[in-house]
Amino acid sequence: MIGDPSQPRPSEDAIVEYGVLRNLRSDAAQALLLLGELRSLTGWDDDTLCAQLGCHPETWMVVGGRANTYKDKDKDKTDLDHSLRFLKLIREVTGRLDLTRHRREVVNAAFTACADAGGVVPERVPRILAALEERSDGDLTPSELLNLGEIGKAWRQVALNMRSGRAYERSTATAKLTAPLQSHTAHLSPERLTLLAQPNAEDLLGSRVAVSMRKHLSAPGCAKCRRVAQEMGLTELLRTADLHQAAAA
Amino acid sequence: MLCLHLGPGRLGLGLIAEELDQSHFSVCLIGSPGTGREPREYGLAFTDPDIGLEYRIVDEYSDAATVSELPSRILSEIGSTAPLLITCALAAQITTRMEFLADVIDRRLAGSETVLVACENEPHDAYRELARRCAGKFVTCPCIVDRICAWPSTVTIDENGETIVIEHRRDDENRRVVLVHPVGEWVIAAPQPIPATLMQLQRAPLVQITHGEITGYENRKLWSVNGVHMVLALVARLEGIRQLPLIEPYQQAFLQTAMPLMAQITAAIEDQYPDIPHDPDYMPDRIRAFAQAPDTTARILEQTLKRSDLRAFMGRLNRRIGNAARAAHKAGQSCEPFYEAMTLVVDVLSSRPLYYRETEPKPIDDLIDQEVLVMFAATLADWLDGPRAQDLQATLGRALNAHRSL
Repeated sequence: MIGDPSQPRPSEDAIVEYGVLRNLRSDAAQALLLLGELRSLTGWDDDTLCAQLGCHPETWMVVGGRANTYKDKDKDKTDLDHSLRFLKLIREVTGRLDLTRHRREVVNAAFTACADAGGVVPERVPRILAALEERSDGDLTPSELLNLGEIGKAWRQVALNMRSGRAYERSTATAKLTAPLQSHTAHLSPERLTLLAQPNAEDLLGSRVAVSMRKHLSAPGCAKCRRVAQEMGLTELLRTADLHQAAAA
Repeated sequence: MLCLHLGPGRLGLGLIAEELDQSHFSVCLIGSPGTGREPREYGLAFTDPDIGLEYRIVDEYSDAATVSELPSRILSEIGSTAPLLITCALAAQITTRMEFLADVIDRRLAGSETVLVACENEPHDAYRELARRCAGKFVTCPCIVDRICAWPSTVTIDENGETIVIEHRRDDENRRVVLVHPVGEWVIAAPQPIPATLMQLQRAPLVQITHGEITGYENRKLWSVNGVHMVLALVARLEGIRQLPLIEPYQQAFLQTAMPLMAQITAAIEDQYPDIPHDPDYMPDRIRAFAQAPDTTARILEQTLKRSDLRAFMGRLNRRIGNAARAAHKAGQSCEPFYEAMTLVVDVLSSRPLYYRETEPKPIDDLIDQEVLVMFAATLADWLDGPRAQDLQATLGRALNAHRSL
């Protein structure tokens, strides 16, 4: 696993014991590699990362390295497949953001979405992936919101798109409460628009996210977000977003 | 007729002194000892542009530490048989003014009318202690105060992207200026017959004198003003709206957001307190006031939405929303809007960036978090069904736990 060598490494013995190093294509090795990437992306140590993911390094090793010791091999394989899909999902969505604190938020949000997705466990990750790409009423998909750094909004929409489970029920209730505001609010929150107008926007929002936000705002861009920015008096922001976009083009 | 007002802060100037002025009291404002001489004039910046900025003058301003240091004219009136009204908006600072108040009351001539009104929604225990010490020498009247009074402020963003609110408490001539919304009320529970001081005070437009228990008014204010404002502030926080006022379409949207909750609270109030006169404009007026007052969302949430210790937040949530939900449940309401409010609470509390920055960052304490979860369970008790309550508690518990690593 990638990381600070001075950190405790509870899984090292297991890596050797279960032969991960002999076969890097094995599921166990894949899991470890993904965990390593996530460790690097989030800056968390093994224990913290696995606690946030609802697992423990040793559990991963046992699942990946000793599947043949379980009574029900098919179930083990199914569980492992789910775990790998889950880790790949987390790695994918986390990697889109630039700042460590934002990536950590995404890990937590994705974990909650999966834990409270309801339904059959192996189907949860495919449902989340579908929900991330679902476009409602021609609006942005949660995946696109995530690229704009709207983490909370994106995952609330994921929960709504999943259409069942505890996360869906909670999001439906919150959405009902905030529904009257939705026709007035834009994709980018006023708070984050203010940050984008700061001279150090890249530091505050992350460079790729700031670029995506400017692109979203630049003419003709998103009329709703441009209107909100105008109402907030951020005309200079709109002008620079247009300039950035023209330069990029 | 003289009124001594202790605590000339936002509420003291924005509601109390204003209403005393409207009912033609001679007012002596008493500030903290040693704060120096203040101008007798202060400004009220009304959010209604048709009214704008108006200045008022009080008769006296004093920062006297002891009664003897008060102006001689005031001292002679205290020592006369003329009725005396004392109003306090001191919050916890009342403890530092106990001796002062006891001395004022002691100087009153036997048989003269002395009325004390503690202008706090949750009066400090010190008022009870004062009533015990000076038993029979004065009448104390509980009251409910309600008006948006804020120091004019501007907002700037620091290099970390954090909002910094800068208050502008004084104008160019060093006069204090308070920003006020025209909507408000000051309900006072008076004994019968009504004392002369309160007879005069009730001439003020926002003053309402009532008899007997004031709990109904208190809960109406707590649930429908503070409770609904708390929910709307959380909505604003979730939507990333830092600054009010909101443009007109937003105001309507906030009103619509609050409607279902308001309807259930109204039903609860009517069921529990049938004696309170029904006012169809009471809640809509206050929702508009929330959205119209130039203010920050932080004013309502900042003090309590701090990650290291959410107990104050939970205490308020239970008193303002939990109690309202229980009353609505008792009145046969569905309580769905309250459930929606609670999912909103969990959404906001789950998102680490939505908390306000602490001036001195403190570590997350397991025991405090446990207490917070118990308080949250108490908020949901007796109105929300078991599975939903358990789900909300579990989600919040997991989120608080995850924050340790953020």
